[in-house]
Amino acid sequence: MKGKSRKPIKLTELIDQTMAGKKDVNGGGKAAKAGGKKGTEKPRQTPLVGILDIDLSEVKKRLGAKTSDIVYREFVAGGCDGVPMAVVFVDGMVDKIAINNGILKTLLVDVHKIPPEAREGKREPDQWIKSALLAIGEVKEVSTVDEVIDAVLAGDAPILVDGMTAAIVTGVKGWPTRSIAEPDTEAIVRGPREGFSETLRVNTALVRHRLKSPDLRVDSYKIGERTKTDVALLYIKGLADEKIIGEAKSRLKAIKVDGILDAGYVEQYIEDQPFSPFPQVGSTERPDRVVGYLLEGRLAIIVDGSPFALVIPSEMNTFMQSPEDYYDRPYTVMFLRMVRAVASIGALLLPSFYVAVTTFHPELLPTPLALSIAAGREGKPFPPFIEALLMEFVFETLREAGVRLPRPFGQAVGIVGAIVIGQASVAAGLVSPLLLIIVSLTAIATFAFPSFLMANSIRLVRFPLMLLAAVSGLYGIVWGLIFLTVHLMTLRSFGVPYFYPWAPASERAILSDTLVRAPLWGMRRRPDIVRPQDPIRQKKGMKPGPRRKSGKEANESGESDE
Amino acid sequence: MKAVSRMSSSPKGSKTEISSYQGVMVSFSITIGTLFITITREVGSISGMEAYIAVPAAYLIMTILLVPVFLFSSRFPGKRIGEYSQIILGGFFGKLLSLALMAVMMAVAALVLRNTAEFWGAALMPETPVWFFLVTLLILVIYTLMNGFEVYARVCQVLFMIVIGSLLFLVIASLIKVDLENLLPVFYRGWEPLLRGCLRVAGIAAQYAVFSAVICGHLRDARTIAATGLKGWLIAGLLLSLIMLAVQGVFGPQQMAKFVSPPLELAKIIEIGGVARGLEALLVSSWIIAAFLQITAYFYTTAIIMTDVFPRISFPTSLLIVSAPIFAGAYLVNDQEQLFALFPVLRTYLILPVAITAFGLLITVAFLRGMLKNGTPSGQKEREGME
Amino acid sequence: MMQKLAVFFVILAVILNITGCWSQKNMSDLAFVMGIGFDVPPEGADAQMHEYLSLQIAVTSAFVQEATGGAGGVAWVTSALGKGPADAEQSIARQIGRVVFYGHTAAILVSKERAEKGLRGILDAIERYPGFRRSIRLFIVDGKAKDVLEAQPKLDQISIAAMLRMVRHTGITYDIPFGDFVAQTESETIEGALPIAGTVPPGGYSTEKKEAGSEVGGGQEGGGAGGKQSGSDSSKQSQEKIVHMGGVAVFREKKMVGTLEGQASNGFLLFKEQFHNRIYAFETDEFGDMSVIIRMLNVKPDVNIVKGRLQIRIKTVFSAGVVHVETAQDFTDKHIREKVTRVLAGELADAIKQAVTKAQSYGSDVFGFGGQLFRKNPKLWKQYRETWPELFSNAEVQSDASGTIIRTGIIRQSSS
Repeated sequence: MKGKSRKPIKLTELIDQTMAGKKDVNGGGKAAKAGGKKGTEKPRQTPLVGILDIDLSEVKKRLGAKTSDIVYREFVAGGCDGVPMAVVFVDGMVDKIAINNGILKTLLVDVHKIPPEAREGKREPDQWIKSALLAIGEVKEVSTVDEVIDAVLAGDAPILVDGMTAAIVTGVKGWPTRSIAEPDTEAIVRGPREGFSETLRVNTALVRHRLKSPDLRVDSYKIGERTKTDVALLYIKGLADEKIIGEAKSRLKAIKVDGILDAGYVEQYIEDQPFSPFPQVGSTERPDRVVGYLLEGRLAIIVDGSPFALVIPSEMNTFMQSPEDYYDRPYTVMFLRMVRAVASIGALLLPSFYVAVTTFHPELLPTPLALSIAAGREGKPFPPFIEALLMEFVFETLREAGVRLPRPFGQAVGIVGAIVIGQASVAAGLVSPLLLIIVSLTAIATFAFPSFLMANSIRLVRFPLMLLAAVSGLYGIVWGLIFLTVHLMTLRSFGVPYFYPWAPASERAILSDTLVRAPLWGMRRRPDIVRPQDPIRQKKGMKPGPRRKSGKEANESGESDE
Repeated sequence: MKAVSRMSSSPKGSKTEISSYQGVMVSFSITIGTLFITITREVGSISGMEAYIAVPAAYLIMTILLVPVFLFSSRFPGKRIGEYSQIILGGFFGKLLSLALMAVMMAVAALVLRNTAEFWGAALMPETPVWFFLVTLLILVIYTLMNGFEVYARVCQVLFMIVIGSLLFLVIASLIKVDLENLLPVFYRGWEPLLRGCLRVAGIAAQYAVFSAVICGHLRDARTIAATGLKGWLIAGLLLSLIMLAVQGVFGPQQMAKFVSPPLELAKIIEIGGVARGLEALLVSSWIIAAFLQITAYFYTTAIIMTDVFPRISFPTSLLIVSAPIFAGAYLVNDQEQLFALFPVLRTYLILPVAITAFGLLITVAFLRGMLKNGTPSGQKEREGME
Repeated sequence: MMQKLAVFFVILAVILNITGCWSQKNMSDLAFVMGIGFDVPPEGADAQMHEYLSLQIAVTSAFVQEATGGAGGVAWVTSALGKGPADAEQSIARQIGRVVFYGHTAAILVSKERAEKGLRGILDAIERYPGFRRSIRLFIVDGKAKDVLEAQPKLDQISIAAMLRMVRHTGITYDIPFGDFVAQTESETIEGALPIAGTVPPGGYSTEKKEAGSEVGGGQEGGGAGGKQSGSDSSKQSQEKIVHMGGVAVFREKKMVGTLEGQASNGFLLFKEQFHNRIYAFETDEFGDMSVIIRMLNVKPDVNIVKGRLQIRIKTVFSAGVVHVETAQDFTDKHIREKVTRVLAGELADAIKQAVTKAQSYGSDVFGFGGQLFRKNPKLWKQYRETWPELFSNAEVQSDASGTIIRTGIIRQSSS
């Protein structure tokens, strides 16, 4: 797949070729790691001529000769009678040390260290530049001006060589990137604290580091006509279902837009049902979580420029799980998941319930509570629904404001705002005190979601439910819940039913990883809804406990006593 | 830019296959509905003291009625009654039979819809006019069925737990208040009350038979069809028997007969620790779910039979066509008396005979034509010709 | 196409929902009725008016948490006349300015006079209305129902709450939920009975109230005529009243025909096995006055028809603990226990017999002997059900009891 170097061609032939619109099949991906991207057709590629001046001026014309951050370094390699070359790069996107030491130094200085005999019979520059001199790890050859320009803009440094119709692209990417930090949105108590950063390569490295299997595939795509964002699709070959892989690839390739700025863009272009309030593509900032999902047979999409990785397929369950769930012991996890389940139901239903009961069914409350609520509602100007709506909006506003304020202000405004506004409105007789409790509880409950995507959905869905409750009481709430359930049942994420394992039901899966989590040594099979090709995760007999062998034998065989 | 392909394509109303577990859920859900209300009322007032025996006995006996259904569904796996009736009796008579079944189902559907709406109105929001409940229910049903039967099956799976849970809770919470004096002595009036009660349940069995005849079309595995249908039927029967027992045990036959909806009264009695009163609103809410599942089944059955009779109508159209008369019927029944009188009459004296005739006819003709042989389903050629 | 249809339906759903909220209630628009009282119309009222209805409404502003929960002014009682219950309610609605809400109504009180006229209309009205639950309690009032509603118990905010607690938790009086009472009145095999409530001044009983046959210590007593009189006397003296309970009202069909007081009411409660965890006081020759606390009761009635006459046999098994004894006794001694047991058994059996006898005088089988016969021999019951009241009135009653003394407290005996 390397571009062949051709002999310098005549200008007339060059013109003929361009008029004929000849297309080149270009070389594939980077060395070693990935399965390459397939060649995409580029219209009207301008091939390199082989004459440095022409090629370089073509490049300069396209990029702008006066562009201040693009450097055109022309030099002559190999001494005064050597070969003229030029290296083009973007200042700020390249690792200057690599260029200086790996390219310039070797070609300008070290070339002299090669004894003349070694140069015998190897006059063609291509024979000795790449294979003998260039001290750069990653090189590939390209043969059109367009590719040269793409390479420059991607952060590589192509070397144009007089006499070669191919340019040598050196991989010297090195731009400033945020250091690995704890992810803000997914803090956990026990577990690794590494989060993705904005550079694709760093992120894939983080994943690779945790998943050293040779079956891990990283397919990369460039999506976005102008941004040409690198997007990588990760999966474990032989584990992930081929159909899902094919589907993911086709969806990614079908995205033809101006630009991709964040993983969220990609998510919105590939999801199954854009009109549903529920997320169908999971997103996470944690490499350990990505690896966990990959091991289940799912796929991950990492987008350059975004610290969030997308996980497909994603069903309801994955949005309700936190990675900590696997690092802790089963009882703890069971308890925490129960708490989360209750919190999610509360977040969804509490305000609606309040509205429904106070508006339609006061007989539902125990008498003392009913009387004190009625007392609290004496003289309040708004019906419960308007009150609830008002307070919810106030709270959402506070939350939004808190996000945007700089940190020292944010916390103060959040707390003070909530307390002061809440208390003041009760004292002023605007809302009833019970409502305040409910709104606060709801807000806290939404924070209990491990996935903020789902938390946002619940926040959204809460409002229509409140409306339904205000109009038809408990009947409205139940109606809304049925509607929601039906909707959830129709959702699929890349072919996986959203409400798995509740429906279609799989008792084994319900017991092993939803509200209760089986002990790790009991989870022998992978979730079969993603149809992994290799369903067995681990062997039997992983349960810890004293081994039947005697201590002496165990020691001899090198096992540790448990 | 939309995603290129939807991996979730499932043509609406067509033969999506459901697992046998889902089948049980569906069978159960379509039986329960608001049946526990009507059964306790009807059998309670007819059978009096023997009501709590009548229900389980009838349930067990009426399983006989279901035998032909499962027989046919095993012989013609993946086919509904609308289809295999045409195979057995020939196109015209088969369609006629299906039409007859469809008509009676629609009549009952209208009544069930109305009854349900009345019940919720009375229980939760008495001032709300009935059309509100009818229309909102209709919207839910149509939304569910538009997305295909598989969605409905999944919804049943998820929601039936709530239904079973709430009914079991009702039974268990009221067990303390059961007075044995309300349950004994029995049979001092002879067998007649028991038998009349059983007849009522027979009407329900007939209805369930028609349901199953349609829904078993979604189960491919011939061997599990009978097991699935029976399981759903018997679980429902068990639950209904328990409720009947609880209602009669707490209230006694005399009082039970005067209630419009005995389980609701039972729910009102529940007091846990003196705090949890008024739970009936919550329980009624869960019964909304049960009713919704059953009504969706009615609509599905009638609409799909219509597509079998008139193959050129697509399922969504058929659904809309069927909804109109059902809704109209439900709305126009304006009389409590009509409601209470028509209901049992329709079920026992209309569906039961029609169903018995229909299945009897099918069995006879199929037997004569030798279609009931063991092994591979017969009529294979016709089947392929029709597909 | 599908999308459009879906959107259409959603919009339809939304519009429908917005068009009307028929069942909405604003909580501050409601008048929470805690208790309902039925009296006979006062003298000089219009002859058409058959009901005098009183509603006890919670004054919700007094329930605000910050307010000092005092015992005054939290409930307001208002009344009106009417041709029937609903009519009277209409009249009341015209004078309270809020929507009457029965969702939290806990008790219904009917005065004796009113009950004697028959409860059919009241029971029907209550049963039909879906807002009432069948677990509310019905009380017969010795005096005016309105007085009881207006009474201000010192420890609770509303008199109704006090009454309910007495009924449910402390076992002071006959506890029968409304639904069961209606079932009884409509049944052929048993007649209904209800607890009786009345009012007394907050200081407690006046000495006038004691009359022959009343107990020492022990269960509270609403006397017959004596109690009523003193009640009204004291109400002239001070407006404050509190509620007290005692006695059982006996019904035939839905009309009140008499009361069981004193020993008879105790006997009734014993028969219904509702007397447990209550103190029973009695006199003995050997040991002086004693009181025990009844822990367990098991009553087995048996009915037979012999030569056209009803024979009722009641066997009671009990266990009781000693609460106080006038003389120093060591109850670890088996003989002493046996003696006490025998005396107590005699007392209890006698109380039950008195209850049955009194009920016989009213011809009202509140004990459910008819039901016993029915369950034992339905055919026989069919024969005699028409003439049951007469049969019951002439029945021969035999009552026996036996039991044990358990748990005599934490001392064995007083030293002297």
